[in-house]
Amino acid sequence: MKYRIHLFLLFAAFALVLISLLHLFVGQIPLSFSDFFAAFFKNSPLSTNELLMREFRIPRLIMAIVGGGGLALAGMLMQTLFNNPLAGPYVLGINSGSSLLVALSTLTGFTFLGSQLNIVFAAIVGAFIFGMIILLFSLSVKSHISLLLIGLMLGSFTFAVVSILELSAAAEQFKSFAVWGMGSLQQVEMSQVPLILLFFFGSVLSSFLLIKPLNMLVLGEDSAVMLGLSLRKTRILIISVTALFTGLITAYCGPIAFVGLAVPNITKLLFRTQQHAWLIGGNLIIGALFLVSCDVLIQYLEETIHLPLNALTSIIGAPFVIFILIKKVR
Amino acid sequence: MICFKNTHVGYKTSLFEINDVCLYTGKMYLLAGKNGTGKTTLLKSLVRSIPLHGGRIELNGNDLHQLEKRMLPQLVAFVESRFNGIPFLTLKDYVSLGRSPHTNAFGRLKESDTQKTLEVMRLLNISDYQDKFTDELSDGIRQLGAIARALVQEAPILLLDEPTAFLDFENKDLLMKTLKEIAVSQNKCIICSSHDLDLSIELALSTLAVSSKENKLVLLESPQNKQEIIGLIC
Repeated sequence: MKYRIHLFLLFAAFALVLISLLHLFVGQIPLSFSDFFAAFFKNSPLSTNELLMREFRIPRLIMAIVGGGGLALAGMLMQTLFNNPLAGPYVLGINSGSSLLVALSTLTGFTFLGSQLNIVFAAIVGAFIFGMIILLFSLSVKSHISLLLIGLMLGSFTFAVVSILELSAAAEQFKSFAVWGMGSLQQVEMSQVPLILLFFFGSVLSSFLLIKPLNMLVLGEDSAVMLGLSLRKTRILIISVTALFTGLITAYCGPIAFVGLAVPNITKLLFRTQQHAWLIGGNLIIGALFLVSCDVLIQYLEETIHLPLNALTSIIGAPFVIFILIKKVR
Repeated sequence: MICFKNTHVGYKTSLFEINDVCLYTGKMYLLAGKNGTGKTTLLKSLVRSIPLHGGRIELNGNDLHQLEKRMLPQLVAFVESRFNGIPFLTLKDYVSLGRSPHTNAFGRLKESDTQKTLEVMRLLNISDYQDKFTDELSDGIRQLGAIARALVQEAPILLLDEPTAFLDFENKDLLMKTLKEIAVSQNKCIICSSHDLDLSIELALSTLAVSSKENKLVLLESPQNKQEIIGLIC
């Protein structure tokens, strides 16, 4: 049992290191290790390659790791909370909440906070609001599929509102929002990385604090409550952490579909356990591995065809959802 | 000790009432009644899943509904009538989740928690299945697993909702005998709803009969035969 999990964790971690190195050093312009160290330790003017490493390659890799790991964890949280293998931040429309508020703030110019924090804040608040909406619906809807339909409707609703906003927005804002909507790991600069990592590690830490409630929720809400779980507190905490992950990632990368649905299922199939201490670690590493691999593929194919990230994850993710529907839910 | 004081069981309407009935530890009670008379509702009222329609229930002299919610799992454990199993959850992990009320904020199992889990699984003869996934076990073993989970909770009151409904004759017999032994050896108050009145007579269990004519719960300390109980509940 444990042996199997250790083996998979070790293997996935090793693969992640390898693919990350590939991501960093093998691109249209091959870079060297000295560029890598220079990106961190050199203050004096940087050469083009060193600059490329510091301002593009490293932030992009970090975003791929944060995005993959974070969305996978958010998906795991949703799946355990709703006891539904088809749940995930994207299918439940939690991304849509981020999109809606980001659209409102970028397209209309309405701001909550200062410039950089503004989009992040809007995205997290949007994700939290839509998370709470889904939670409220889940109290009266018992079927797994119905909940997904509600998520789909939230998505359609958002899409409609965003379309209206887009038409009345200025051309420049319209373009920047459209690009954001395709999903991309390239929008992040080195200066934003510390803030992203702070949010990310905060959310990961919070997930580890939720291990006991998550393990209890596996028994079903009724049984968990009879074992002393405070349901209301747990639900709000789980939705909050999910909103932090989803909002953060959606703000910087745009919507990324299906990672949050597919990776937690894959992790569970590989690890064959319901102990969330292992599942959290597994989702972080396998999620990161998945998204870094996708991005390596995107970079590799860049000369032939331009693949938006969201399109690639959907091409892989959508058939996977059908597979799970047939195999598990029926 | 559980005492019912003018208790009206029911959610929106009162299903039946219980007047001055007290139940004690070290004993097993069979809860009998026709379908839909409110046996499950009574059990769920005792874990506070369902509020009472009126009156009160006392646990060792304290009002059940005044107790702090987080204290409850240390006093009452509940086994639902059917556990369908959960994919990738091993029997051992499942049973040890019953220790949740005793573990720290991370749910970390101490050596004593693991010992308790293994001890209860041995007692119910399911140790051989500890590494099997709960959705791959037979109905009987799974039901024993659910009972093991409630036992490791170490609550003095154990409630079971028709635990024998999906068991064959042999397992039924064995389960009820084991439960009665546990009630005595571990000094627990066990209340078990069932339609198996024969077992009640065979094992000389005290019977709580829901009389659907009078909408009342009657305690029969030692019913002599099946007819006596049937006469009451019908």
